[in-house]
Amino acid sequence: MSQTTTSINACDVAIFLDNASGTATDISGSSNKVEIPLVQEVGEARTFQNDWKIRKACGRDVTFNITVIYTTTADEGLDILRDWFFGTASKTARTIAVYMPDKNVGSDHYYAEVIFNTGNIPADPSEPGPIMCEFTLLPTGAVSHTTAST
Amino acid sequence: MALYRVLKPLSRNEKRIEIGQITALAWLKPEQTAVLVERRAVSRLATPPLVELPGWARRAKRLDKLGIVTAEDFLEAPDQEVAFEMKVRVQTVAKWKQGIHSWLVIPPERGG
Repeated sequence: MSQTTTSINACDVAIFLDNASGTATDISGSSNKVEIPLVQEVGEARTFQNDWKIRKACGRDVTFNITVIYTTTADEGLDILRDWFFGTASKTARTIAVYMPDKNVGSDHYYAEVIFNTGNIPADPSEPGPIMCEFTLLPTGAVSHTTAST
Repeated sequence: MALYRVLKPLSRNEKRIEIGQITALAWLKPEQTAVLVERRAVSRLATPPLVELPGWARRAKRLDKLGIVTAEDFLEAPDQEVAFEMKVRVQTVAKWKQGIHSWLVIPPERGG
């Protein structure tokens, strides 16, 4: 098998999240990590006189874990996420879109309508670096993976 | 302009173009289309000659005089021009095109 020539890194990944007005806003410049664990529900059983398990798969789920930098600018990652939680529409779904390796034609495009699940705003005086805030967004409905054509 | 078959779902702004659809990718530059082809998200569509389509033999002969031989040629020909030469209404040409288009599209798989 020949060695791959199409590996990518995450340097130019783009993350878009709706702001309170419903406008897709590029928060890539104020976030530095996104994780998208993919989970399929699997049930199992073992019968008598047999070592090996039977497994069946059913539903699928995805989580969007985003790390944003604590900044003081409006419409950056933290501002949008924090306002979403503290605002009157915290229970309303918004669209998230992640482009890998970048936001160009041919890139992988993951997107979903998501609900705010958890957030963490840590403050540690012994940490001189920027404050990193972690948020978990859970999809409601299907999560899509497409190839970007714009 | 060439036609392409969608092999992986495409997203275009807020819209999704499903596997099996055909598109001219008219909004893309040639080098962007080449990226999609290279990543096997789309492939150049090979369409049959019109004369091979059931019920199209006579029509195909007349269209052949306009240089329209394949289904792709027909889909890309200007409606007005075809209507004039075939002595039919523009709406009829649009209906024919819709029929040809639906022949070429592969319906999505069910499930999941």
